[in-house]
Amino acid sequence: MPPYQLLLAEALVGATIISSFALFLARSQQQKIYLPTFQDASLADDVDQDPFNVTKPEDFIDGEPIDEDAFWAKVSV
Amino acid sequence: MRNRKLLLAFLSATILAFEGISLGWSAYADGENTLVEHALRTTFALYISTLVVRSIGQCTIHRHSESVIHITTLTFFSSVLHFVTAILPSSDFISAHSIQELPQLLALWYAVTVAYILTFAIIATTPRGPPLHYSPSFIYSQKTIDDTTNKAYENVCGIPGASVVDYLWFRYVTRVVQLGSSDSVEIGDLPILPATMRATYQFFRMRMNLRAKPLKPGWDLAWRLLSINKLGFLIESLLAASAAPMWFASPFFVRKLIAYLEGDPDRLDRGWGWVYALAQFASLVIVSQREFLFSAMLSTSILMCHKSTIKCGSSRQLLSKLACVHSSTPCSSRRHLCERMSCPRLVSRRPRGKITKILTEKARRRMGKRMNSRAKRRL
Repeated sequence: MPPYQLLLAEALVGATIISSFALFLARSQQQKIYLPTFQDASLADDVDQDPFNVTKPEDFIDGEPIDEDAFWAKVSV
Repeated sequence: MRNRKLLLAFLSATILAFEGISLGWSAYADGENTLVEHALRTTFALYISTLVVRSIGQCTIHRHSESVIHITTLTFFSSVLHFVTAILPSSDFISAHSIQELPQLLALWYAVTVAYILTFAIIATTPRGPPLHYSPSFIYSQKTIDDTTNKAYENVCGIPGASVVDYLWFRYVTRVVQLGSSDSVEIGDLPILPATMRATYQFFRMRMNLRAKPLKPGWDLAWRLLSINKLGFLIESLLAASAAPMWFASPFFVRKLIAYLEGDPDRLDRGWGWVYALAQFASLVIVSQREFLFSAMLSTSILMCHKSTIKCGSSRQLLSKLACVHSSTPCSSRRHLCERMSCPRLVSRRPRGKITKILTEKARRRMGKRMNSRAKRRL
């Protein structure tokens, strides 16, 4: 058997712990429900007056997936 | 490409089975203290299999890419460690120790190493998402769209869907390089940037930050830029810290390699020679990749944020001035303001607050209906 087996195994378990912790953190972040953030002022506020509210909902998406179902079918099964 | 995740599941199940067999074997063989390490390795294999099985049903870009990144990192780490321990020449004591071990156990160990490397190769080349299309009319004027010669439907930059290897080796840039062969390159021919790299997105982030707390003169701007890009700075500094020793690692290993070549002219024990050569290669790769990997993205983000801070800051002052002058004509003031700031994008935009307008109109109609019905009842 090659040397340093116990060290290797410990390093692997360390990586497992870090990864599962990162996944757990990401999951706890996801469960928060976010309201749409593209319009920060309240409806009663004078939004019309603000010329610098230039972000639209479209600015927050990367793009529309092309042929999404075919892609997932190809990757998964 | 086809059956990718199924193949991954099969490979991870194989690894788990092999680790389980080794665990059972080591439990039987008395006198050797290898039970703990086999138990730990089985835990790792179990975790990888869980991740792979979990990823089979994931059909959203976010979830899928999260799984892909985790599995890639873990299998890469495991493959590198296995590979290094496999080529590392064992000292006399350990080799004498390993003679007593069963050859089957050694075969299983090498099989697991190969399976890890295969798993890494498959998952690292798996795309993280489908190709994307973004309607050019959202960001370009009609004139720019008319000038465009590149009519490919897949027009978003490939970063969001790139596989891990493509991301690390910048393969998504290939499309831009290919544009060089066309007759003319207009702004519309270039791939559209993903959301997090767009100026409007950075502007929005900075604006939100400045709205929460007004900017103070002095060092506050630097602090804001730092706090908004804290994740990027953190990754960049971590990469820099890890890559800094590699500058010295490469000459160090060259020196070791030369010492080995001089000390062993008959090449009797080639193990250390291989180790030094591979270590030198790895340190060079890490140093060269880190230079480009994140710094470009971070500097773009900071630049955008800085520009938007200036715009946000000046907007407030200008608005207060304009509020006095053009208090009765908001629309013209907006146009005027935008022209003064030489920002054609803002001028060409449709009026903001459209949603609010629609909502208020609906509310008015409803109110009108209610009023009518009440009036009818009274009558």
